[in-house]
Order: sequence, then C-alpha cells, then structure tokens
Amino acid sequence: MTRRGADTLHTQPAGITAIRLLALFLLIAWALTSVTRGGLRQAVAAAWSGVRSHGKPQPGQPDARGQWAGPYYDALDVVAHQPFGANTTIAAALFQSDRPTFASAMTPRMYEAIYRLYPRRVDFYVTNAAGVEENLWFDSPKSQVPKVPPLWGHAYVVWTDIGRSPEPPGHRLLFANREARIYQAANH
Amino acid sequence: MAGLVRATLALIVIWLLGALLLAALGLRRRRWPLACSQPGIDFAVGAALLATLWPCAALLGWQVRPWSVLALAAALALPAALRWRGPPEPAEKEHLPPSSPRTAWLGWVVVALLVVCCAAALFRAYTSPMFWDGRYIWGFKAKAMFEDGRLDRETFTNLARYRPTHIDYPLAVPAAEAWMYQCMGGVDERRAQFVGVVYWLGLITLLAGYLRRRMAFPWALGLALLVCQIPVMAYHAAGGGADVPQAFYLLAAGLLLADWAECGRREDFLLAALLFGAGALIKPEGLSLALGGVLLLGLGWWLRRPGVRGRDLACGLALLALPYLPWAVLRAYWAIPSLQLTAIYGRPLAENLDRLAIVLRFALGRVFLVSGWELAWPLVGLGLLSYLLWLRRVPALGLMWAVLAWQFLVYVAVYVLSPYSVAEHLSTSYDRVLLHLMPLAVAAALTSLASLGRQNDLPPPLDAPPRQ
Repeated sequence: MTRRGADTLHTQPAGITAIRLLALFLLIAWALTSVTRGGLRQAVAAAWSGVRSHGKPQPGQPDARGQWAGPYYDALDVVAHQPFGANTTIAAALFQSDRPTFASAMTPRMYEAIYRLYPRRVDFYVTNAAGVEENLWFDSPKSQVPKVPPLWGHAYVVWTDIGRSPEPPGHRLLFANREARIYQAANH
Repeated sequence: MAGLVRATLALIVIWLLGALLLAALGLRRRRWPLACSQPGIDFAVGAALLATLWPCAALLGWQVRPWSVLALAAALALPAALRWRGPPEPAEKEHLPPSSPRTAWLGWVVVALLVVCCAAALFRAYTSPMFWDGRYIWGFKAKAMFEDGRLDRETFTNLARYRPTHIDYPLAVPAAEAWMYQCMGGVDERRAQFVGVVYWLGLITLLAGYLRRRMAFPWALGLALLVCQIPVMAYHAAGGGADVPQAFYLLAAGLLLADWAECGRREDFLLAALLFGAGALIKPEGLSLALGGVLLLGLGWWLRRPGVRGRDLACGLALLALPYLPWAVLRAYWAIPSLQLTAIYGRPLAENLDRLAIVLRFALGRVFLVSGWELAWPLVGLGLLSYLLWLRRVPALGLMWAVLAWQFLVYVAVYVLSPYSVAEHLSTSYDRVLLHLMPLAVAAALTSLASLGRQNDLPPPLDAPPRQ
C-alpha cells in the first residue's frame, strides 16, 4: 500500500467500519437464507430424498429422461434397437406443429429423433397443403438440400399422426402405441 | 454398481491425465493452502487435454479409442517422472491465519455439510434428466463421438441437420462425457452428468483454498460452500451443461493471475496462461476469456511484475494458444463456421445501443433475485465498492476485477449486438453466463473485504518493486 493509499485508509475508518458491518450482516443474512429456504436447505432435502430412494427416481416422478419420456420417444427407442444395415434409412412423419419456424428451427420431437437414432440418419416429413408428406430441410438453401427418398421409400417410417390411417405401400406395422406407429418395409 | 465404478475410474483417468501433464510441464509443484485445491486444476487440465486429442486425431485420420487415451497417459508419465523432485520445499510454506481451537467443531460441521451437498449433487445428477443444452449441445456431440470413435465430418458440418447442436462449440465437455461412455461401454446420460459435479466440487475446493489465505479454515470452506450451493449454481452443476466448467476455468485463471501479481511466481504465470487457454475449449465465451488473458498477462508483464522474463511471456502465450489450436485448425480445414460470431458480426453498434438500457436493467434485477442468487451479488457489490474506494492500488485485486470487468463487458456487448429478441435472449441465457463470473466475483469481493484495514499485509502496487 502506498503512502497515499495508507493515508486514505486512515482517513476513512468510519467508512471501512460501516462496510465491514454491512458485509457481516450480508453474510449472516445469506447464510440464514440458504439454510432456511435456499441452496443449503434444498441440498439437504435432495440428499435425504436420494438416500431414501436409493438414488432412484421417486414413484410417480419422471424417470431419468424426464420430459423426454413418452410414447413417441418409446417408439424411437424401438427403432433404435432394430438391427440396422449400413444403408438402412429412417423417416419420421410429424405433426404440422413440428414444421420449423424462424423462431424454432427444430422441435423437441425432431431433436429427440436425431439424438436417439444417431448415427443413423432420420429424414423428417410433414403433410403439405396437398395432403402429401414433404421432406423438411429447415433453413438451408434448396441447392444444399440433399436428395432423400420419398416417405415410403425408407426402411422404417415412424408415423406420429395416428388420427390418420396410412395405407403404406409395401410396409408392415411393426409397433404401435397411442402416439406413434412404426412401419417397416416388407423387403427390409 | 459396475457402471458406477467404471464412471469413477473414467473420471480418475481424466484427473491423472491432467496431473501427469502438469507434472511433465513442471507446473504441479504449486502449493495451495488447502491440498484439496490441486485435483480440481488437474481434472480441468486433463479434460482440456482430452478435448485437444479428438481434433488432433481427426486431422490425422485416426480414431480415439480407450487405449489411445491410456497410451497418452503412459507417454506423459515418463517426463512427469523425470521432473519429479519431491514435494515443495518447506520454505515455501505460507503463514496462514490460524484456526481457533474453540471453533474446531465448526470446521467439522462445514465438512459434514460439504459431504451432504456433494451427495445431493450426485443424486440430482443421477436421478434427473440432462437439461436442454446439456442434452442437445454437449450430450449429442458426446454420443456422436462415442458412436463414431472419431469426429465425424458430417456431424460437424451438416448445418441443415445439426445446426441447433451448435456445431462450432468446442469439445471439452463432450470429450469428457465421450470418454466416460467409452469406459462404461455405452451411452449413459445420467452418469455423464458427473462431469459437471466434479467441476462443481473443484470450484468449492479451489475457492476454499484461495480464501484460506485470508481467513480460518471453517470460514474459508463455509463461504466457498455457500457460494457454490446457491440454487442457480447447484442446478447447473448437474444437467450436463458447460457453464459450471466454464466458471471453474475463469476462477482458476483469475486466482492464479492474482497469485502471480501477489507473489511473483513464474509457475503461477504459466499455469494461469494455460488455464486461460484451456477455458476456450469449454464454450465460445472462453475465447473472450482467453483474449482477456492475453491482454492481462501482457499488461502485467509490461508493468514489470517479478518472476517473468520475456522468454516466459512467450512460453505463457504459447501455453495459452496451444489448447485451442487443434480445434481451430480442424474448423478451418472442415470449414466449420462460427455461428455465434457470424450472427453478430457487422451489426451496427449505434443502432442497437438502445438495447443497452434493457440489458443493464435486466442485470440490475438479477442482483436482487434472492431466489436464484441469494445474496451473492449484493456482497460482490460491496466488495467492488471497497476495492474502488480503498484498494485500487493492490495489483492482485485489480487483476481479478479486471478479468471480471472484461468478461462482463463482452457479455453485455453480445446482448447489445444479438440478432435475437434481447428480452428472449436475456431470459434464456443471462443466468448461465453470469454463473461464469460469480465464483471469481465472490473471491474478489471477499478478498477485498478481508483486506480492508490490513494495509501492512498487502502486496506492493504494480509500479513498485516487490517486497522481499
């Protein structure tokens, strides 16, 4: 500390004392906040809950996949566990609400399909105004969009809009639940 | 149980990689007031080394298999053994504030609380899903790396398919998770979240070790625990995100920079440089941290801080640049674009300045958000006030506050120039980026407050010769 700094220090004892008292008050208040309704209380509750449940999710609580669990995601798991060949292709026919927008380039269903089926590629389709399932390619220029097979040209099709009844040519129903159906190409 | 054992072994190997690299570089002899501070640094350096291994292998056309990581550890063991000269000399022992025997029980209470908090963090990680960023930005890359055994060019260049996974983000967190998958033999998102918990524990021990110089053990550990247990921090420790790791690198680099300014040890300078550079491997925000590191290390050297010659400065800058270099080369080679920089580049500052008021108003609101941050930011404000009023000429404190100011200004500038709705951008990310700053900010604040009225103990200013 320089002479000037030391002098400043000695000319401000009241200020320093006030700051110290305020800091002490803040620290005590912080500790009390944490213990009574903040992080430390939550940590103790989480630790106790973990001990009681032996580290497993509580009954009735979401499992480890939480918001990503559900019938559509179960269907993806079924596809993921299929024995795949190197050239096997997968399509997901999604709801209109899954059509990308500027604000949301991908919906959770798309993310999850890509995540769970990686490294297998999944192509997405949404019904257009003419009632035909068209390929979705987000925000890339048309020139950069690779050619993909039509919906029913894929080895597996995950069909989410079960309100409609597709009659897939050359496919058989592999799996169905209340949110999704999986069709498999007969020649696969 | 076997999976847990394998996950633990995977984390130990990451620590071992870092410990061996630091030993090989002669940078592991540093004495911390608490010995438990060092493993966190080792782990962070090990994770950075893993993150450089993947792009190096991709450039060479190789795969990354478990044996290649173990071979790297074996290769580092030889120079580490050759440089081993035993533990630090007793003469280096510091005079630490004594712990009163009357408050010894308090130390045990705090240690017990730490154990409870660690258990809670592990339970949270193991029983909860990864949150959005953890799953789709970091977890996706980890899964892809594990499945492919290499960096797949399609995954890192196909914008149409993978753009939302932020293909240009660096690889330290995915590399650590992919290594865990390799050790476990399969993808297990729950155990992968332990990576964040280890960084979180590292934050506590590092912060406690630094504060121990200014206060007795129970207070140092208790305050470090209080800081790292605030709800925002505890939430992000689990969940697979990269913000707690980023906070660790920022804290470690800032504290070592301050230690160098205070004690003039060359090792601190070099280790700070390495951690500034390694921080760039966590998130894009780490790049601005690395740039801040270049500026502050250069400034300190220019102001003739002791212990560092021109050759050391060059060595430090090399250590700072090397961790990011392989990823930068791979990005250039594969033409992976900088999505974030591209989004804000060329946007006129003058036309967006009205956003500044929105950003600052939002930031001020967060200072008093007790449910998320408890009373951390008011305390930081008090520490900053103390520094500005009475401690401006203390170089160690000045450098810590400078790191924080630099990084905060960068974040504010990004929000001002953001192409997105500023309100939406702030609400989805501000807490996370503020989290990077918080541990170092509290360290700087508590050190400032603890230094008040102790002018005889303070180190000399930057322009004065060091006290012998």
